[in-house]
Formats: sequence, structure tokens, C-alpha cells
Amino acid sequence: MINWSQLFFIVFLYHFKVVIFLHGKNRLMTLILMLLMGGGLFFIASLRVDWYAQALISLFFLLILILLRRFKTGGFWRVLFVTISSFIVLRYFLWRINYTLSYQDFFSSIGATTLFLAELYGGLMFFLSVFVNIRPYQRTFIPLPEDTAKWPSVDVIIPTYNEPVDLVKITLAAATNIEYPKHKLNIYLLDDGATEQKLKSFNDDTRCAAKERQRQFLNLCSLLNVTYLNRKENVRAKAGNMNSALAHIHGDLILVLDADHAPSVDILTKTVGSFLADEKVFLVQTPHFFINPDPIEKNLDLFNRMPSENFMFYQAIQLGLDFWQSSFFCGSAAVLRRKAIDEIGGFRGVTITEDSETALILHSKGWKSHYVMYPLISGLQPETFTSFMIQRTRWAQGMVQNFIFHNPLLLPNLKIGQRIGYLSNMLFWFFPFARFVFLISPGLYLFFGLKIYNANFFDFLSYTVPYLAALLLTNHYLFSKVRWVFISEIYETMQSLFSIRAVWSVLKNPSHPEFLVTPKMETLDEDFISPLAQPFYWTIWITFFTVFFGIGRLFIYPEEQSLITITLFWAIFNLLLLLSALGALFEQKQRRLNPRIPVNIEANWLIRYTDTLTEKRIPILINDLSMGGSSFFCESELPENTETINTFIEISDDLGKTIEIYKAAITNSYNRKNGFIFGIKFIYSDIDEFVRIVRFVHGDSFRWIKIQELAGNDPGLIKSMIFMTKIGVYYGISHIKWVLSSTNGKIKRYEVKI
Amino acid sequence: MERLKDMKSKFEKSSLIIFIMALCFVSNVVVGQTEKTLIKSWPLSHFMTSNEQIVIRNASGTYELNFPVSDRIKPVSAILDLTLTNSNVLKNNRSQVVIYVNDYLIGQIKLDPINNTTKVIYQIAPEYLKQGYNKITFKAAQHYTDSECEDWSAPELWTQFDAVKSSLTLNYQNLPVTEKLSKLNNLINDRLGHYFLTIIRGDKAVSDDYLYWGSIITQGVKLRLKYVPLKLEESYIEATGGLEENEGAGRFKFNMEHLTNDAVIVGSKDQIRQLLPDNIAQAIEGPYLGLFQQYPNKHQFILVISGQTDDEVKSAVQSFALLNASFPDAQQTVINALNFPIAEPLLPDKSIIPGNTYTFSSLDFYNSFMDIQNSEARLEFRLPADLYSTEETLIKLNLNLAYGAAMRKDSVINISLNNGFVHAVQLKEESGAHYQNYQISVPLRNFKPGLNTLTFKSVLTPSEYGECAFVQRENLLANVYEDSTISFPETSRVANLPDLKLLERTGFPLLNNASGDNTVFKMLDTSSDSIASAWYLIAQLVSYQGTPVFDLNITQSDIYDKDNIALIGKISSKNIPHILDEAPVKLGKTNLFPYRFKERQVAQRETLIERLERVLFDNNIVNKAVATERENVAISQTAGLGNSYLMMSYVSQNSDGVVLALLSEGSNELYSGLTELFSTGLWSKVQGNIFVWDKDGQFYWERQGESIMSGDDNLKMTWIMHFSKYPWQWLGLIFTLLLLSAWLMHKLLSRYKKDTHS
Repeated sequence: MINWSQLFFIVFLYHFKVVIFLHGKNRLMTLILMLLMGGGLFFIASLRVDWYAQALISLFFLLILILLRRFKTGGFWRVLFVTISSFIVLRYFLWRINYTLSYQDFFSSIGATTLFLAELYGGLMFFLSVFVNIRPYQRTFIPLPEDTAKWPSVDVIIPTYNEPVDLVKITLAAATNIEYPKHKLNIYLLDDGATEQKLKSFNDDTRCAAKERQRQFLNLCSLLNVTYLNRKENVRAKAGNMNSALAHIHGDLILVLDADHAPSVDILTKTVGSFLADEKVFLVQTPHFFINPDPIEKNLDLFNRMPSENFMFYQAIQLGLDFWQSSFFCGSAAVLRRKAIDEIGGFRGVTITEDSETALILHSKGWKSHYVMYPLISGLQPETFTSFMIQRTRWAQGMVQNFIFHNPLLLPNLKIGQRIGYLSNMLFWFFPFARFVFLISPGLYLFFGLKIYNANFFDFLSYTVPYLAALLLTNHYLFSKVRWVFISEIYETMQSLFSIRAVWSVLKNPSHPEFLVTPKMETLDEDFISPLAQPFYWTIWITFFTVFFGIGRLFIYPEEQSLITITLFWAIFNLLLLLSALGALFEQKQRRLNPRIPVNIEANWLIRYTDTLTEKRIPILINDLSMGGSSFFCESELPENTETINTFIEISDDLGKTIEIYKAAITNSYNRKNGFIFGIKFIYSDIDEFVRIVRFVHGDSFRWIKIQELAGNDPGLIKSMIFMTKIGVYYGISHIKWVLSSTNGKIKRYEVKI
Repeated sequence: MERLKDMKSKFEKSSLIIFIMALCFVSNVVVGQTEKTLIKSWPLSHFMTSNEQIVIRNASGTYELNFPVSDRIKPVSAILDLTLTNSNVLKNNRSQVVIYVNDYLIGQIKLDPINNTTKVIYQIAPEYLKQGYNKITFKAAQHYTDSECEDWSAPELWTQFDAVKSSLTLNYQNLPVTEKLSKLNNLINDRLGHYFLTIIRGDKAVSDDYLYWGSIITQGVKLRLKYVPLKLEESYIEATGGLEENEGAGRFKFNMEHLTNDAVIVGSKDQIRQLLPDNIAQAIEGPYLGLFQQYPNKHQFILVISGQTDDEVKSAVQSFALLNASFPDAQQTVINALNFPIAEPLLPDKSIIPGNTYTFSSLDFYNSFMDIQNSEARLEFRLPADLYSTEETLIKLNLNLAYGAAMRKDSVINISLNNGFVHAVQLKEESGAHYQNYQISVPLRNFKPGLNTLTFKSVLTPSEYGECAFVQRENLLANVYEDSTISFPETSRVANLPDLKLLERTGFPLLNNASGDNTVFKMLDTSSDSIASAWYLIAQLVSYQGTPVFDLNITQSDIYDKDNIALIGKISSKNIPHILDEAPVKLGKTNLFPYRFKERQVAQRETLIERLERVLFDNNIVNKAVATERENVAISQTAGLGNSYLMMSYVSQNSDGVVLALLSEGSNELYSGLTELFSTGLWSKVQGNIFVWDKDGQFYWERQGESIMSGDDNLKMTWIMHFSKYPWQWLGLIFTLLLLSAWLMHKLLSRYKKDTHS
């Protein structure tokens, strides 16, 4: 019999200690308390109380989670939510460890151990994620002092390797638009595509291309008043390029921009304040905002219908990391303190993710970072799945290298929150192994009869279902506005089949990976199947047969009905994921070089009549914008005698005063309900006009916030599940139908090095 | 006409019985000049493990049973009175039953399909009988056709002996006791029914030592008797002086004619010297055991257990309990030393320590050869009384077995646990097979505390069958090898007390692992009846342990220095010990007793999980019975137990254990009540924590009062058991802890934020 008086005394003491602790500063007491709390919950979670009691508490806590999720309140209730879900997850793993890992036979044990390790990885990632995201910290930017003399000097560096000149031109022009005292702002183009090594290459093509590239850039830089820098040879990739530039630049701060990341005009006024407020700040990172869909969004038609994949990291995880002082450098859209960079001898380049590596080392030196969740650049994502995989493989390999070379658990001077934050980001990239195991596991049982999950139906409903539900609810609670349900699964499934080799190669030889630049501004003239689709065909066939065998097994082994049904559900879920993946591998054509940005700008259509020297203003609503042009809605049709090349878009301020006029040509028009849609093309005659157009299209950061807000909707768990299922089935079947009805000639071949 | 024929038949049979009885009487008269002939009769079911009927099936079937004949008697003759009924489709010209005793043919019965109920009486000559076990064999040949073409296993081929109406009557003469200690095992059990024994003290005062000695002697007797009921008396005998004119009686200085049973005199030399002849008294030079004939009834023995000091007597009584072999072959012996083994822990036979694996042979299960006649083998072992484990814990059987060829695929070995089916091994290889490491798992919670029996019963069917087919049955063989193993997982020791059912099965918590060290047996009075009752209770509980328990604490004092307390004796309004103050039943001037009043019904709704299982898999889930919680009304009244007996157990307020009270009131004989309790099926009905019964076997049980968890220091398992029982408490505890933890973390995070980001 439990002595309840003792128990209450313990609880009282526990509470009393907390009170003492909260009014004191005793760190030892904190540690003891945490250990007591953790130990107590660990002990209780490990109790193998009979299944009906387990089912009862599972049901109760799931209801509490649903209730808390519905109100989505922060503070204490958020902590309570993750505490309850963590308890359910902890209870599940203690049950798995203690009661489901008994030896069956050799092969079953191998399968069971592998599955358990994959699950354990998932559990570890859950706890790390919960820790990181328990209290996201959304800091407001610190304004600069009015006296500009106190403002530090800033060098804007734009490293480039092989990006098209037209793409870099936009970024350079956008950089010149940055609102900052000109004498304190220096812009540098760091051209690694025309190093001395390439300019003197024995290969005629390489040499000629490098010279032509340098010529164009030199010309552009002179027009924009940008300093062009190149170096002797291509060593240590982007980090090497930036380090080489350090010898030529001398500003207090460095703004790093990728070649396809056009900054908004306020990028410095919203970030530099942090450096003045705290001398220990080495980094102010801002989110990467993309104006085009990634290939999965594009091929599944998800762009702007739901939060982009990167929202989760930039709108949630980085906030959590910032709370623990471990938000890190993401390679671009960040301002760094020169002094800090110099302290560690420049940007670190041991790994191929120089950004996080540099941040990690600086954090370990006691420097601080800030994350300002305000999109201040607009960038481009890879257009094809192949490019996407090149990018993701580089990230995966780089983070695994970081884990090996700069393990945050071993690196001195890091705070515990920073260690866990970095660990979470590094370990995440081991997901291909776990995902692969989850893909093949149902087959091990349904095909080969291996007993990989030793549990009965009641155990499954008492432990596994609550565990899965807790994961789903927690994910939804923490990330519903930035990531819909099952999106992570689709992205991870798609990457896993390729990343697994890449990560394994790093584990075998950590110094091996090379920095591969993500191709950008690819145009796709026609629909085609991604050359990376083949492994998915195999996997989907195997999964299909697994389901088929599972159904057969259901009748052959009626005594294992419940276990088979559960596994069958799992296999069907995998099949749905793979179908979605298949849909995403059906590359949809994309002819537009400059992605259109959805906007909602009230403006005037200014038509000048050269013959009468009169002009006419028609109110319009601009629907989208791009560097190529725009489309707008107008209630009236094109007036007669209008010279389509002599029209202008006039932007006024709130008081009706004209602030900008952009010359444009009408390219097309069509009827729409209550009016007409007109397509226009911006026309510029000199670099200044081009710069103004860039400012109009890319300069307003407020516009990015609006777009993010529109995309960041949460339809609810059930609706998003149904939506994703429909999307997956529809596009997956489209892929299959296309393959069946097309010839092999339509399958585009890429030479891809991953 | 039929009726007349039947009456005639009955008359003939009755005449035969009267004639035989008369013959016996005459022979008794003749023999009586030398030894008196006695008669004892039992129904055949007495010799069977359960009250089942004897059924012989198939074309050729056999049934065997054994009856014992004690070494203490000489059988003069026996009468086998059989009542049987056979199938009414048998062919009377081909169907018969043949009866053998010890393989001697004693008779045959023609199976008549018309007059198909038969009563026969056979006289068995003494030459056919022997001391020890005697075998009766019934062999039947049963046919339903006149030709050979028939199905040997046709269901209509049967004959049934009524095991209750059929009887065995033994005419015997008692033999003089052989005065050899080596014969003790045979002497203590005359195999004729209840065994009677008197324990005699020579000191009028009852000492705690004497109580201990008597308890050990009773254990020794009870362990020898096994399942035979013991009728025990305790008495004080005064010396009457030597009857020297009588040679036989001259050896003991008290009147033995009053002794109607075998007897044991126990006490120190000084205490019993006045009862003993000088030569025996002189022989007591240490712990002493001596066996002698009584006079004039030399068919009964008197055992002297003594020593010069109390400690020597203790050694002597312990020796008596331990002398379970045919040694020493002498009338008396002096024990020099008892060298108890030092190694710990020591456990009774067939005891299981969780976490270990046992070969079947280590549990006295040897290669079990099963065929059409002997189709059953049993594996017995004792699980700890307070064994508790989580619901998924499994006991694993790794069977090594073989079976013969040419058997039909529906041949199986059925495995039952405590008479409940748990598993079957299908014998599906036509050419026979040998299975090594055939694994079977049985949930641990299917097992019971204490003695468990796993039964392997073969159901063997020949591959050739049908009419006109020669059916070979010699090939129907199966064998479970002794090197098969049974593995027990690590478990904990937790029990919910008080629980009289647990006491009934295992003796727990009064005795645990053949030790009574944690219990004190307290005598409420020192009447012979109460003393005999205490000894009998202890002996009964010890019999579950299979070995004598020496570390006993039995006393008349009020020192309760042990966790568990057993109170035994008579109670009156003047003599109510304080320890009974907390009892759920109060006796004395005012009697308080809980009566069943109403019950609270808690409907067991289908849980969400069960509903899901039913909906998803269409599994038929057995509807849960309503859980009832009894509510009693305690009535305080003037009248008390009367002729009833009370056994109750409740949580001790002064220690960490329980109190067991075994009480009778006033002049009511407690021992008679115990005999009723133990010798009939009443003992198996004991449950709850209050049990009241009377001499007619009427009983009433109830549960009243609080309970405690008893067990080892495994906090985890104690909590698991508790929270499995009270899931809402668990939920409350977890939720409170989670709230506290969340609150603490929230405060910590707020402080961290303030320190870091402000």
C-alpha cells in the first residue's frame, strides 16, 4: 500500500524547494530539482501498469493536448503541452525498451533492433525539437540612433560562382538600393567564376567563359559603383572566396548576400542596431524569403497554398534557437561583426557548410547571435528536384561534417542550450537512415514474417497510438502555421533515398564532400520525369507488393489479424507518401525566368499620348510583380489610341503624392469578371532605371511579410491531412499516367553529381 | 415379467452378499480366537484423484486404479462390489469386461445390451493382495457387430463403472507394531481412513517449549500422512505407578488402556520420567527417540521423544520430523547432533525462484512416455505466494518431445495449467518427429501462487481407421523428455493482504518459503483442544511447503514481535486480547459482525480500445461482468459465534503484517471445526478475510476492512500493482507531477529569458 502521507510530504517538499529556488539563485538546487523532477517522471513513465490504466491515461492526456492545442496559448500552457506530450513519448520508449525487445530469432532481432534504433532517433529528435521550440523568442529589431555618425561602416559582400550575370545584376542593384549612408556602405562582388586560375586556364572554354564573365561583371560593377574582387584560385569554396575578400574590405560589419538574394532597402536599418546595443553580438541573421516555389511545391502545386518548407526553420526553429542563444549563420541575409570574424581567422571552411560552422565556433568563443524574424531578402530556390537534391545533399553533408569535426557536446564553453540547439540541427540530417527503415519495415513483417515489433493489439493501442497521436499533435501545436501535417514526411521521404548515400559517404570519409553550388534560374521547357525518379519506382513497387502481400496475409494468418492490419496501415501510409513523392518527381514545365510575386498594390496606369501631349490616369490594382514585368487589374479596357509602349505605372503614397513612375509596355490583356487583366513588361533604358525597378520589385520587405502571412494559414489537422492525401494521390497518379502514355524520349537526362 | 426377473436377480445377489457376510462372520469367529478381524469399506472413487466415473471406451479399453494396504494390517479377504452400465448396442456374444487384481483374474462380466446395468460382487482371496499398493484392472472388449468389420473407436463402444456405488471392502487383522524406528513411515498411516494420534505431556503446565515440540511432531506426522486427514489429541497423563505384575504394562507407568490411538510422549527427561520405565529413562542420555508397543493393544505404538534438556528435546522432535528414510533400524536412538546445511537460501522441493530456468527432471518430471493407456503426465512446481508481475510477462516452456509415426494429423498433446487448457502441440508429421526446443509461452498471470500443475495429455489417433480395417495402436506413442525446460522471468514479490485464499493455497503470509520466522502463533488458551488446533493448523500450512518448518514461534505470552500474528483458541467475553480490538469481527460481551447488505454495481462499459478492436477486426469480445463492491452493515449484538467457527485476517496495527485469528467460542471444540475445514472440500472455498463455518459444512465469507501491500522492497512493482488496481490515482499523480514540472519549467524559462534577453 502506498503511504499517501509520505507521498504528499514529498510533493509538498518538492513544491517548497521550487519556491525556495525561485526566490534564490542556488544553481545546485536547480540541478537537484531538475534531477528529481526528471527522475520522478522517468520512474512513473516506466511503470508497466496494466493496459486499461495505460489506455485511460493515454486517452485523458490526448484530450488535454487537443484542448490545449485548440486554444493555442503560449507561456505556461505551451510548456504544459510539451511536458504532457513528452511524458507520452517517454512512456512509449520506456515500454519499447523494457517490454518489446525480446529476442525472437536472428533475423527478426536484426530487423527489430534496426527499427527500434530508427524510432529511438525519432524520439531523440522529438525531445531535442521540443527543447529548442519550447519558448520561441521573437525579438524586435533594435532601431539605429538618429546620429548616423554613430553608425558602423558596412561591407556588403556578394559571393558568386557560376550564377548567371542577369541574376547577380538584380542582387547588385538591390544592394545599391540599401538605405544606409553611402560613405559607410561598400558593396563587393566576390567573383569565383573568374579567378586567376580560370582566367589562365589551359582549357579554352573555361578561360573564355571566365574572361567574358569578368568583363560583364566589371562593366556592371563600374556602372553600379560596386567593387569587383576576384582571387587567384578556387580553394575552400564560398568560405575561401569570402576570406580572400577580407583582405580588401575594412568595414565594421559585413553583410553577406548570396548572388540570388536581393536585399530589401531596410536590411541594414533593421539589423545593425543589434551590434550597437551589444558589443558581444557577432551575428544578426534574417530569414531567407523565396519568391519562387521549390520543385516539390511547384510539382504538387502547393506554392502559396500552404506554408513553404523553409517557413518552419525560419519562422519557428530559428526563434527557438534564438531563445537559447544558438541561432546560427545561414550563409546569406546576415550581418556579421568583422572583429569576431577576424578573431577566428576568417570564415571557417573545414566543412562545406561554412555558415553554421563559423557560427558554432564563434558561439563557443562567447559571442552572441540575434535572429530578427523579418524577411529582408528575396531569393530564389532551386527549380528542379535535381538541383534541390544538390542543395540538400550539401546541407546534409556539411552538418554531418560539423557533427564530426565540431561536435557541440564536446566543444568547450558552449552553454547547454546552445549544445542542444546545435545538436538538434546536426542530428536532423541523419533522418535518411530512419526514414529508410520506416519505409522498408512493414515489408520485413508482411513479406518475410520477421517479428520486428513485439506487441499485441492492446499494447499498440495503449502505447503506440497515443505516442503517434502525441507526435502529430505536438507537431501541429508547435508548427501548424509554418508546416502542414505530412509535409515533413514527404520532403524527408524524397530526400532519404539519395541523402542516405551522401551522409554515409561523409561518415566513412568526413573530409570527402565537395561544395556543389545549387543551380539557379533553370527554365523547364516541357514536362518531364525527374532523372532521380528511378529509385522511387523500385520503392513504390516494393511497397505496393508489401500491401498486396499484407492483404493476402490477413486471410492466411487470421490469428495475426490485428498485427497485420496495423502493419498494413503503415505500408499504405508509406505508399501514399511515395505516391506524393512520385507526383513531386513529375517536373512541371516552367518558362518564366523571373518568378512573379503576388502583390496587392493600388496604383495608377499613366498613359501618355504623344500626339496630344496629354496623359490619362486609370486606377489599377497590381496583382503580381517580377523583374520582367507585372500584371494588373483594371476595370476599363485599353483606351483607344493608346501606344502600348508609352504607358507607365505610377505609385503614390498614402496622401496621393506620386513617388515612383515606372515605364512599361503592354504585352497582353484578357477579360475578367468586372474588368480586364493586363500584362506589362518593364522598360528601362539605363542602369538607374533598372535599379529603380529592382527597388520596386525587391526593395519592400513589408511585402514579404504580407505574403508570408497569407501562406501561413492553418486549416486544421484533419483538413490538412485530407488535403495532402488528395494531392499525393492525384499527382502520383498523374505521374504514372504520364509515364504510361509517354515515350522514353521525353525523359530528360541530367548528369547529376550528388 | 421383466420386473419379476429383476427382483429374482436382486434376490440372488442379496443372498450371495448375506452368504459372504455370514462366511466372514464365521471366519472371524474362528480367527477371533487369535486376532480380531475388522472390516473397512470404501467407494472406488476414494482411490481416484477426483469424483469421476470409470469409463472404458473403444473396442478394447483398459482402466486401472490402485488401492493401498497398510503394513500394519494383514488382509484376510476383500470384496469388490461393482455397479456398471454398458452401451445398449453392444453385441453380448462378443462384449465383456475382465477384472484383475494385481494381474490375477478375479472375474469377467458379459456385457448385455438389454439388461445393461449390472451389479456384481467378487471375493478376492488374500493371496492376491499385498501390502503397499494393489492394482485393480478393468479390461473391456466391446463390439457392436458380429463380424470383425467395425470402427474400433465408434462412440457407442463404452462401459461405465459407477465409482461411487462400486466399493472395495477389506477384511483385515491388525498386526502388532514392529518396534523399529525405521518403520515409522509405514506406521504413521494405516491407510484405512483418518489417522489418529495422541500427543502426551507429563507436565501439567503447558510451556512454550512444549507447544513448539508438539508443533514439530504434528508436522512430522502430517508430512508423512500427506493428504490423509489427521485426528490429533493432546493430553496430560499422570503416572499411575508401574504395573509390574504385568510384563507388558510394566514398561510404562501409566494406564494405557485409555489410549485408543498411537501416541507420542514428549518432554524433557524430568518432565516425563514418572511415566517411563526405568530402562527407558536411563536410556535418555541425549536427544532420544524410542518406539514401543502399547499394552494391551500391541497394534498401537507409543513413541517417546525426549532429552535431558529442553534443547535436547527440541533436537529430538526435529529429528523425528526429519527421519523420513528407513534408518535407523532400531527401537531407540540417541541423537548426537543435527548438522543443518549452512548454505542459503534453502527452499522446499519444487520451489521456483523467478529468473531461473528449470529442467523438468529437476522438478521430478522424468521422461514421460504417453500411449493409448497412459496419456497424461504432470509437471508440478511451487511459485512464490506473493509473486507479482506485469501482464505481459511470460513463462516459457522449451519442450523436447518425440512422437510416433502413422498417426493422424489431428493427434495432439494438450497442455493444461491447473486443469485449464493453455496450449496444444499438434503432432502433424506422418512419419513421426522429434522436436527439440519447441517453444510455448504462457502468461505468468495464468499461474497461481503456490502449487501449480502443468498437465501434458496426449490425444493420439491412428492414421488407419474405419470399418474392416486393422487398427494398429501400438504406434500411438509420444514422449516429453525430462531435459525440457521451463523458464521463469524475473518478477517481484508483492501481495495484497489480508487474503485467506492465498493462505489456503500457500500458507502465506504465516509461512513463507518453508519459514515461519516472521510469524508468532499465539495461544489464547491452553486447553488441549486449542493446542491440538494450533498444531494442526501449523501442520496443515506446513504440508504446502513439503518440508518441516523449524523456525516457528509459538507462545502463550503477549509478545508480538513479528510482522504476522496468528491467534488461536477459544474466546469468551472475559478474555478478549487487545489485539482483537482492530478486528473486523468483534467478539465478547458485544459482538460486532459485518452482514452483507447491498452492493454497488460498477458497470464495465466497453472501452474505446475494445470498441475499436470489435469494429476494426470484428472480434467477439466477451462482455465484461459488472464489478460489484459489497457494502456491509455491521450489527452489534449480544449473541456471538455459538457453535460456529471463525477465521479472520486483518491488518495489524502494531506491525507491518497481518493478524490471523482462528477462534471458537466457549465449549465448542475448535479442533472439530478445523477437521471439518481441512478434511472436506470446505478449505478450497476459503476466501475474503472473514470466514465462518460450522460442523455441517455451512460457510459464510466476507471481506471487510483495509488491506496492505506486502512484499519485497521493489517499489516499482508495488506501485504497478497498486496503480493497476486504482488507475485514477495513477492518473491523478501523473497529472499533478506534470503540472508541477510544467510550472517549474515555465518559471525556469522565464528566469532564463530575463537573465539572457532583457
